[in-house]
Amino acid sequence: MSEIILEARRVTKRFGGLTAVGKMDLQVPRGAIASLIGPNGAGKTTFFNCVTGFYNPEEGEILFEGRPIKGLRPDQITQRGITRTYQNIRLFSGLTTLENILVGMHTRLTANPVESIIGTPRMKREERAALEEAMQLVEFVGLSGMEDLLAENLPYGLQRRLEVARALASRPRLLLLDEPTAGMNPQETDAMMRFIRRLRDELDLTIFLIEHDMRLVMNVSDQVSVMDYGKKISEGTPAEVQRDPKVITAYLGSGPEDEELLEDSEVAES
Amino acid sequence: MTDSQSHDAAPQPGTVDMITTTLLKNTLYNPLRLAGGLLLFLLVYVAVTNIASGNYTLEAFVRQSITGLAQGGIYALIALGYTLVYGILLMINFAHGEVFMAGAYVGFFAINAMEQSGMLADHTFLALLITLMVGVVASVTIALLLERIAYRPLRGAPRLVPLITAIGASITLQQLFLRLFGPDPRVYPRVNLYILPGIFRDLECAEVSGAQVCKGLDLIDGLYRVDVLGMNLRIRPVFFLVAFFAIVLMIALWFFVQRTKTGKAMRAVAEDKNAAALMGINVDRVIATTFVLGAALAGAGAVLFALYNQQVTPFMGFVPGIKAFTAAVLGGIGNIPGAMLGGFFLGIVESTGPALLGISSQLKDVIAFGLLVLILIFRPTGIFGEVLAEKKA
Amino acid sequence: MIHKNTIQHSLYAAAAILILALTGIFGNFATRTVIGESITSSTVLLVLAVGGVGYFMANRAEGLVAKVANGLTGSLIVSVGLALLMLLESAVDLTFVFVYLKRFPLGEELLFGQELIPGVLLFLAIAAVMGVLAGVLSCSSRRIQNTLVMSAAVMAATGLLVNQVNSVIALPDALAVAAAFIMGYATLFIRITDKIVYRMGIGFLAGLAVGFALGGFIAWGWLLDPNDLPRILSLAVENGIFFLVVFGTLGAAGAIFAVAPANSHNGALYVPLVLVVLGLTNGKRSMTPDQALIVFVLVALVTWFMPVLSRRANHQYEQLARPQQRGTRQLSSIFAVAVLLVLPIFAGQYITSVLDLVLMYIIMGIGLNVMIGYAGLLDLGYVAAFAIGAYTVGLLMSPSLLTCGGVHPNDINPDQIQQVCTGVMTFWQAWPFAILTSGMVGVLLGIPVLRLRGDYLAIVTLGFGEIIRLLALSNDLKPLLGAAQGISPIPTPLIDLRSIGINFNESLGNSISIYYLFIAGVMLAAFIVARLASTRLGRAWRSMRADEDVAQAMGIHLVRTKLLAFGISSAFAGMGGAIFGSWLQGIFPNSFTLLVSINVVSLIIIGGLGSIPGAVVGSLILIGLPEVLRELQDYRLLAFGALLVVAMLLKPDGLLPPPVRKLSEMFSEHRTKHQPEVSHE
Repeated sequence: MSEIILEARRVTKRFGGLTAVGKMDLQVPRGAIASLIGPNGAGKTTFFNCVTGFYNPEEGEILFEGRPIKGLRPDQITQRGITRTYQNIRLFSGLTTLENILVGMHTRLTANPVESIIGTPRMKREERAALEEAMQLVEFVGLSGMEDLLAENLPYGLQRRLEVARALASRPRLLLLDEPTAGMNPQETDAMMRFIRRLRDELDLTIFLIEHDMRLVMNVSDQVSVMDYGKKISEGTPAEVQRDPKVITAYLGSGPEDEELLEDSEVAES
Repeated sequence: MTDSQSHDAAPQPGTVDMITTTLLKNTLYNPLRLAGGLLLFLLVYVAVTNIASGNYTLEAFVRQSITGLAQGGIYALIALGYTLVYGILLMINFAHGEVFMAGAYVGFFAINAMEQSGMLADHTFLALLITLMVGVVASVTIALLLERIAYRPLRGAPRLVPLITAIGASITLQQLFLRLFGPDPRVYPRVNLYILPGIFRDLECAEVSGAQVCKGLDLIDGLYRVDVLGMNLRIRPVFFLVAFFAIVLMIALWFFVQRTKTGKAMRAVAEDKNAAALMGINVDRVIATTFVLGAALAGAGAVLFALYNQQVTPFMGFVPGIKAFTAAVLGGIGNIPGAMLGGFFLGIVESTGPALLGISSQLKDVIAFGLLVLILIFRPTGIFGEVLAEKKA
Repeated sequence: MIHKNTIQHSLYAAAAILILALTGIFGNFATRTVIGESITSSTVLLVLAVGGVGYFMANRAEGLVAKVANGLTGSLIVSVGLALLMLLESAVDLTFVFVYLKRFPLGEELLFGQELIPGVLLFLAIAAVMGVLAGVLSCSSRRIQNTLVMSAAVMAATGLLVNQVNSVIALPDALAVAAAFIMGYATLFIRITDKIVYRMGIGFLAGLAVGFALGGFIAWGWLLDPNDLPRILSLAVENGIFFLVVFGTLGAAGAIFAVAPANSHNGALYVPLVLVVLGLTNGKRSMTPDQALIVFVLVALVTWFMPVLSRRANHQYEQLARPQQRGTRQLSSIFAVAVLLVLPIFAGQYITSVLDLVLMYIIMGIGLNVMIGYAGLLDLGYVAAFAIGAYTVGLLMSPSLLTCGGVHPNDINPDQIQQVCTGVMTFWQAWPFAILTSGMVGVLLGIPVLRLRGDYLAIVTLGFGEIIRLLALSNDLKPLLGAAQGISPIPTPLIDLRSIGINFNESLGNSISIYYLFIAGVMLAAFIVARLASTRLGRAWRSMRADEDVAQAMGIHLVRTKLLAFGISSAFAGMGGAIFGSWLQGIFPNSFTLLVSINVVSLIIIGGLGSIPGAVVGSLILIGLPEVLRELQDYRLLAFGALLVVAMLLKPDGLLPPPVRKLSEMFSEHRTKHQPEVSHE
């Protein structure tokens, strides 16, 4: 078993009387592509929010590279090496592609305001290097030629890529992707699938993603965890999870959720 | 402010442990709240010592509270307009204070004309009713023009834009009234409206051709010395009238919003304009109705205010406007009973505060704004506020 | 034939104009002449109202007849409204309600001195003619329309301003300067594409030639009386060499603008024009009709040829190599700065004091841009930081509780004040304290409102602003802050270089010397904010404005970033407030009203949020314009309010929104510059 990069122990997050995430245990091995699936409202995004510090869970412990991160602010967690993308793309509107990426580098840049005002050579070098790296990232995610477009003016699919680039800019060791293919057609989804593999292979990343597209999940994942009603109900390789009767009940038995049915048929196809 | 991202859950009731944690969280771990708490404690301490040393008597408190009640009623009537508009458009209608002012001004011309013609003296009640109606109509007209010209074209623009427009509209209206009607205050005539001679038998009596005739309680201009519980109070019935009026109008508004079809439409539009439009609600009309309601209350409040305050100037709306917004925030914006309670609360605190704390009454506005800041620190949703979606706060 | 909205919209316009008329505006404006004795501001307003509505209505129709019909309809509706009002006014006494009609009755000005009925008929006839003319004008080509409208506008503006700016520059001086500049500018028609240095050389020689020629003419007594020369020319004759250089430089400047990008070219070309116009009206209290005609023709000529010239200049600019282009831009900004520096010498105390005010608001606008434009935090209490800066300087520069060791200066024997109040500072010592104090108070006030957003923040900061003012006004703090009397006198800043061996000792005691302090402040503010905006902190602010949660998730420390915005922004207000205090030599709480905050917020929004040039333009329009038009002061704030509404309706992004930052271009520019070393990756 390889080293564990992210570990959640009995993480619980309540909203008033509703337990959105209950006693969640989870381990993500370093270098893996791990997926978190489950019906809508199962608590997946809430769990992501707990990991990234947006929510502070009431109970449990979250360890990143063996160190506890529960209770830290989101910016501190980003500094530790976790970044994320959002289900409904949340780019900085009014900033260009390059500027969005440069904001992603914020934690790695060190120039303080005084240096910026004076314009010290060190600060200028740093800015130049950052710009250079941002240009490389633009190229890596395939946005060349759109460096100076405002983020909100990019086409939808490219906005997703920019969001990934922005997340990569902080050089994370763990990247959380929240439904990276939401709203994409099959071709775009395929491209995203290849892109996710490439991310892991070329950048030496661990990827943890939430996804509804079963074809993608089953194709790229090393490990799949299934959530329902705030609890983990199954975990294993894609094949193991697909056979788990609890998973099938969760998707098929618990109510007429057309969307899930559809996706399940996709599982059957693949 | 270490937990600027305080997504802390509601404390689980019952356990002592929880209570201590919450307490710690709100004080020791949160320097801001600690500072706010200390300030509050200090204020209470000063007030208590002031009372203990006999500098401040219950009599003074009650007397000031009654003045505050009337002022609070006016704030409440204006605040309802803010709350309604903010609830629906999420914008501070900065010109609402001027809508209030317009009602008082136009009302003045009506009541003045009726005074000249003698109608005010002969049919006082009817004349007052007409003045009130004129004031309401004036305020509503101004509000509708504002909405149509300045706000409607900007719906959906970034939020700064309508705010600036509202500030501009506020200045424009002030200046326009100044240029049209002049800088000198217009003075409402003194109005004597006698009621209930049967109950108040010994008031306003005079010898009329040998017989003692008592007219009853002078509701508007009367000033009576009353001894209650050993306190010597000077009571103006109009203060109670204003407060009563505010409460009645608030209840009417509340029923309108809760029970009528238009009220339901308003709530739907406040929740989601697009969805409401898809449900067949005429959003433009609902928003206009909202402005009309708010303006009508402000216009009524303005005439009442002018009846006892008498002086009307082009700038009379601005400070009450801002205070009323404060009141609306105190009560939790979007909350109708909250706005009214906030108004009364602010009115009373403002008029009792300076003497209670032993500071000069020049600083009563500081108390109002200081209160606003404290409230927003401890309960950003207002005293009676519901939890708002993040976008609103 | 008549557009379906024409009647409706004309009625709206007529209603608005009637309301204005009821304020007595026509009579009020008639007290101020624009051209000759008979054309007054009132006439201008009438043309704007009646002709303007006609023109607007005519513009929607197609074809001469339809345009004339629509124009006529618009003009007639407005004028009939005014005529009815005149009839009403003559029949009923409206002055109880509309008090200003007592002093400025409507009829007198609009009846052209006739009796009521013939006067109204004449008025209607003139309005009809205006409507027809508007229709015809709207039929002509865009270029003709632009030229006519621009010329008429400049002519009217000149007429309005003559009274304030009638001692700026004498006509011979203006002509000389303009001639030198235009001679240099004439290089526009020479084809030299490679180096701007050559072009500047030729321009320099051309300017020199103008200088020589003038000098010679004057020496020979051909042109002007050598004993009665205006300022520049007499200096030129006395101090020949130096002023030849000045004329040469003017020529060189002209040459530069002949290869400048369209915007700076157009701006520069209006400079000699303005000079000549100012020269024409020099020393006059009002403009005569023949002067008006000259102004009209001059402006018409420049406007007419502007598109051609500007296209040519821009084309030549684009032909230049990149470094040469940058050189052009830098040189033109150097010339612009030079103009700014000599401006107060010519403009005189009054105009300079207006400029001082504009500059002060520019400093604050740039500062507040940090809060609103970059960090997205709506602050309506900016006046608080401004007041704190002013009060800090006031307290530290004069005997006060702070500087007299806690003793009230009134309790000290006047002879001993010097000994007791040892803490009194000079302006230069107190200024940093003021900036620092404002910044720190900004941070402190920021702490409680960290969690608030949008309108809540606006109203709380508004409350802060009022609290600070009320505290300053209150008798409770009178020993320290002086209540309504404020703090006065405050000494003026003193530049004393004698201690370092330079014999220079100047007090910045008037508007002209303080102007340079303000200019320095603006440059400093612009420099600092521009630097911050383009680097790490600026990006953090802007991302926070776009989406606070995501910004935090990207690693931005929200508390620190917000508080930095509060602090830096307030520090600039303090900087402006400090100069303000020592400029007025006294501080009074009533200078610190909500209107100051509203002014600053409005000017940056009208200029364009997050844009430094925007703050400059916004301040010129919102602060400078009303200040210069002071004689129409009664309508100043009304126009201000209306301008805010109209600006937001028509241009919600402001006049000069910040351009999108083209970082990749900078990157590639940097690459090409270092081509030999980098080669390729």
